[in-house]
This record gives sequence, structure tokens and C-alpha cells, in this order.
Amino acid sequence: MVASVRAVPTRSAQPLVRRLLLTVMLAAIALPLPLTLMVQGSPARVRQALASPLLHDNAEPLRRPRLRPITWWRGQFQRDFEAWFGGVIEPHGWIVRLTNQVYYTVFAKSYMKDRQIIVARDRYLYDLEYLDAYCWSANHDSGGASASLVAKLSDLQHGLVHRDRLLLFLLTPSKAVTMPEFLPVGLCGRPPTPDRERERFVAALRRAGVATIDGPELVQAMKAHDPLPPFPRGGTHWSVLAGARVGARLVEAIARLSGRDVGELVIDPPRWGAPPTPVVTLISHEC
Amino acid sequence: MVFSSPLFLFGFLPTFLAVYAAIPTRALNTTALIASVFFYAWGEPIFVLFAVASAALDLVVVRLMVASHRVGVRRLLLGVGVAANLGLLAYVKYANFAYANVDPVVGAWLGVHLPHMRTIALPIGISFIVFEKITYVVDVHRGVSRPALSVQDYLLYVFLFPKLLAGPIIKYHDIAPQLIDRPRRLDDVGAGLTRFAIGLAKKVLLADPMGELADMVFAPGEAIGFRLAWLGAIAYALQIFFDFSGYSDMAIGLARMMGFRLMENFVRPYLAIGFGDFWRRWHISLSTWIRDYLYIPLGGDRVSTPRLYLNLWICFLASGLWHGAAWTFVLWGAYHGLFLTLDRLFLKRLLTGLPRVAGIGFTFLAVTIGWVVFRAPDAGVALTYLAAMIDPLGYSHRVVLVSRDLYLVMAIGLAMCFLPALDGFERLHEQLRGAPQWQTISMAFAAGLLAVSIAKATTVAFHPFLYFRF
Repeated sequence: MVASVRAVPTRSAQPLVRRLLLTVMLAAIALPLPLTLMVQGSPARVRQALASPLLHDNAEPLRRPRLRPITWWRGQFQRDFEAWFGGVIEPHGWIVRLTNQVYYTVFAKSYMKDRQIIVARDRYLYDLEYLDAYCWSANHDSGGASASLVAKLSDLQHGLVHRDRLLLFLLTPSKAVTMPEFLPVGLCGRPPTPDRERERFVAALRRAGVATIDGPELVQAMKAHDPLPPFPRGGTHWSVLAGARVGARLVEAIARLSGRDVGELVIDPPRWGAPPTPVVTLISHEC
Repeated sequence: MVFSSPLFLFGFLPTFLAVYAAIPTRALNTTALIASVFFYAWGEPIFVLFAVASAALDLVVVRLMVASHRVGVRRLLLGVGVAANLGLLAYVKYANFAYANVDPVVGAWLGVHLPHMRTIALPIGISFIVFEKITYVVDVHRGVSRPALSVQDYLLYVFLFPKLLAGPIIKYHDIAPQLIDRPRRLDDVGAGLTRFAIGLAKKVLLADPMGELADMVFAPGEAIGFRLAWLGAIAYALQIFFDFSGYSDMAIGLARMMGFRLMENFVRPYLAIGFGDFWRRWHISLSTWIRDYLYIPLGGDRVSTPRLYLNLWICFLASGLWHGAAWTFVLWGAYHGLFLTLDRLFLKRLLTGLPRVAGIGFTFLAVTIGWVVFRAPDAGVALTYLAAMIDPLGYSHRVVLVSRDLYLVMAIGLAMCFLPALDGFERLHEQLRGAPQWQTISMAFAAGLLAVSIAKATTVAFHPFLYFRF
């Protein structure tokens, strides 16, 4: 004979359970404010222990706006205050990390401000906007748009020469163009041809006399030689090394074109043993 | 301040509830009014002054109306009250639209242009506020409502924050007894918070992801293909439903926490068979407003058949324009007016004669096609989009990356909309509702939804409610 135990609360226990649930729900909305006030008002050491982890972000940290009549009437104070409040309310850091981790693990995507990040093969991350642009090249001939842009840049170049100014055009690479091997097969319908488009565009610019640095070409060359990719797996922007190398070319080009000594960007030989950026860096991005 | 924003969830709401619970009963209305005016002033710091002035005018007009025994004077005052409210709405909502349409015509015919008109920012919730204020003036004139007992009562009716920005549109006589006396019970707080959590979940877990998908498909660019067009249209149909019904749930829940009972605004609208049925289930407070304050004054059903059809069109053109100052909204209103006319002619009989699933399916598809016109930035885009929806062989290069959570959300949304149509669903639902644990289980479910929704709302960037712009 097997004895069974009822786990479901009895009828008389229902109101008590409901009170408990109501308390939990009210606590979920009522506790963050006093917790935040406590953290904000604590000494630095206590604050460090109590506050949720800082989120990685490349934007300036938000400051609490000052209330002035003019900012109130314009609604600026309200907008700034809401943004600031949303960023400091505890436990904002934990919630963002947890939510992004769930999206990353379960749905292979992540939110990052108003952009969306897609997790591709081998868990490489791509910004959705760059993927759209990459696929666009599969189905469009951008010759007309490129010719128009070249003509405008050429005009600009001539205008600046008259004012004794230089124009240096820098193309920067996107992760989708540089590392398409991690994208799902058949993503764009047809195979995109971003290199052919770019090469035509750069050649046209140079024919028109516009000084141009072909960033994607430089980064492709690095990719062929470096043991680590120019775009890290857990990020959507190029690595500091890739950016610095292209930056060094930019400085060289400025010095060459201007004939002035503008200094030199010295890059130490990279140490390839450093561990790659952990994925957690990405999923803790401020949203 | 959006109900799903961290400032509302963790700042305004708990502070308000704590104060509201602590004060004596006689101070409830004053507290609710101060909180409501602050809530509106936070988003509309200047327009709140116009809204207060306009409400004061309503009070004066109604006082004079009640004091007068002459029919002509009462009618004149009614006209003044309605015209003042409509004038305010016309100025802030339609002046730019009228200018943009009239100026080119004047320029083409007379060779001169009208003086430049600056862009007027549309105050949020203005259409809802004005419609409620009109009901007060009209209902007092009709003898349906008694004048407000105090200025505070009337201002609280106008500014009551749960329903202030996107309804439900309530009538003064429906809420007047609650302004005088309403219960303050913990059970109401529990039921209200449960309803609020469900509404928040609809908004952030269903409507916002569907909005992401709809935004990607409707984004300007290359023409889309058949599959993508339907995917985007259905995503938008789900977005607008869960967004607006989620807001209504939150409004009803917040009001319940304060002891108020507001009318229901949605009753499974995508299970409608025919457009008449749809409008009895969708944005009920607006459709009843149009019926009571426009359709019936135009003659209602007691007019000749051609006039009746014309009246239906007028009502739905007005409904379209109420949603926004753009030709797409007028087209959308005309589209619904057309289907309501067809309903009366033969469509309703035809659809009810079909198997239920066919009637529901036809109505949903027709309503979804209407949403495309509603969502499109202009008529040209709407036509291109609709062309893609009727061309299964059409080919497009357009690539839209749809992450798998969006398919999951769409499946859940469609199931929530259509599962209640299954035989036996209602019976099962009733049985569950009658179970002793039902209330506790639903509350536990809502608590879980609240936690997940708060996490999503805190993490993902700001998404305003769609109906705030109307």
C-alpha cells in the first residue's frame, strides 16, 4: 500500500497562499526602490558589495539629471531621469545579465540597446543590421549608387583642395563581410559578392583621385596570417588589434598626404596567448 | 510614463500604492487626483495645463446648462461644450494634416501658399481625454448623467491615471458612484495586480516581439514576397491586439487596485464572425462611444436602408480619423465601413452559415488585411504590400532574419487567440474557474509572469504602446 501526500493546499489554506503570492508580487515591484536608495547612499565599499555587477557598455555612463524649470517644461528632465533611473535601479545589472543569458542560450539572440545580435555557427555573434547589409549585396548591383557616391566624394575632394584641406576616405570592415564562414549556409539566398563590389568602388575612388584606405582588405590580410580572428567570437566590433593596425595605416596616410609629421602609431607585437573575450562580456551589455 | 517602464513599475506604482493604502478614506480622491495629474504632467508638462483649462470649461458649461431651463440655451451650451472639445482635438491632432493637404491645393489653384505652419506635437492620450469629456457634456444634456458633485470629482474622472493615456473610454455616469464610494480591499489589490501582471506579460512578452518582426517586414526597402508579407501582417495583427488589450488589462488592473471597476475593452476579438461581431469584441469602449454619440444621433437603425449604410460609413470614417491624421487611417475606416455594410447586406448570413472555423478564419484574414493599411506609412506602400499578399508566385530578394523566439511567440499568440474557439474549451475553462484552487493558481501564474515580464521590460529598450499615438 502506498500512502499519498497532497501537495495542493487545502481550501482553508488558499487565502493564506494568495496573501503570500500577493506579498511576493508587491515585493517584486516595491523592493527595488529602497534597495537602490540604500545602495546609492552607502559608502563605496558597502556599495560595491551590494550593487549588482556593472554592465559593459561603450556609451557614457548616465548621470542623474538636474531638475530645472526649462528642462521640465521641455520634457528633457523626464526623459533623462527615466533613462538614468532604468540604469541604476537595483538589481538592474543582475536582471540584464540573466535575461540576456536566457535569450542567448535558448533563442540564439541577444538584445543590445536598440540593436539585435544574432548567434551564428560556432556561437559567433553578428549584428543583425550588418547581416542585412551583407545580404543586400547578394541581390543588388550597387554600381549606380557607388558611382553617385564617387562623384560626390570627388567633388568634395576638389572643394577641399581649394581650401587647402585633405580628404582621406576610410572604408571599415564589417564582421559579416570579413568572416562570412560562420554564417548559416544559404542565409542570403544567393552568394553575396561584397568583395567584388568593394574592389570596384575603391578602384573608382582612386581613379577619381580620392585618397582611400581599404580597411576590409587590410583586415582580410590580417585574418590570413593572425592566429586569432580580427573580430572576436563574442563581440560584434573588430578587435582592438585590427582597429589599431588600420589606424596606423590611417596615420601613415595622413603623414604622407600632408607632408607633416603627425607622429606614429606604434603597436607592440601581439601576445597571442591571451584568452579570448568571454561570452559573458557580450551578454552583460547594457540594453 | 509607460506602464512597462522601470520608473513606473519600481518608482511611481509602489510609491502610489503605499501612500494610497496608508491615507484615510476621505483623502483617497485627492491623492488619486494628485498622482494622476503628476503622471500626466510627467509626459505632457505643458498640455496638462490646457487639459485642466478645458476641463474647467466643461464644468462651467455644464453648470450653466443645468441652471438653464430653456431648451435653446441648453442646446447652445451643448454645442459650445462639444465644439470646444472637438476644436482642441482638431487643433492638436488634425491642423498639420489639414495644412499639408490644403496648402498644395491652394498653391495649385491660386498660385499662393498658406503661411507656414509649425508642427504641433500630438499630446499623448488626447483622443481618449477629449472623447470622455464630450460624454460628460452630452450625457448631462441628455439627462443620463448628473453634474459632477465637485471639481475634484470631475478632474479625477478626466485624469484618472490607469485609463488616462489609452482608455478604456469610460462614461462619467459609469464611474460617478465609484468616485463617491468604493471599497478598499486587499482582495481587490490582489485581483488588480494579477490582471496588471497579465497585461504586462501581453505587452512585453508577446506584443513587443511581434512588433520586432512586424517592424522588420514593414521597414522601407525592397518589396517583399508572399510568405514574408503574410508573416509580417499576422505579426502586426498579434502585436496590435496584445499591445492594446495588454494596456487595457493593465489599466483595469491598476484601477481595481484603487477600488475602481472599469469596463472590459476586448472579448476575444479574433474569434469574431463578421465585422459587426468584431467591433462588438474589439476596443468595445470606442465602438460603444461611436454608437452612442455618433451613430444613434445620426438616426441609428431607424432610417432608410441607404441612409443607414451611409451612416455606417460616416461612423467608421470618423473612427479611422480618430486613430490618426493620415489617409491610411481614413482608408482603414472606409474598409471597415465597407465590410460592415456587406455584413448587413449578405456577408453576416453567409459567414454564419459556414462552418465556424471558416467564418472565424475569413474574418481574421479580412481584419488582418485591414491592419496592413492601418500600419503602412502611406497608401502606396499599403497597395504594394497587399499586392505581395495576393501573389503566391511573387519573388523577392528581400531577406529578413527571423529568430526562433519570434516564431515561438507567434505560435503562442495565435494559440491564445484561437484555442478558445475549440469545442469544449469554454466548458473546460468554466470547470477550471470553478475549482477551489483556480484563483490561487492563476495568481501564482501571474506572479511568474510578473517576474519574467519585469526582467524583459528592464532589459530591452523602450517600446511605447501603439495606442498612445492615437
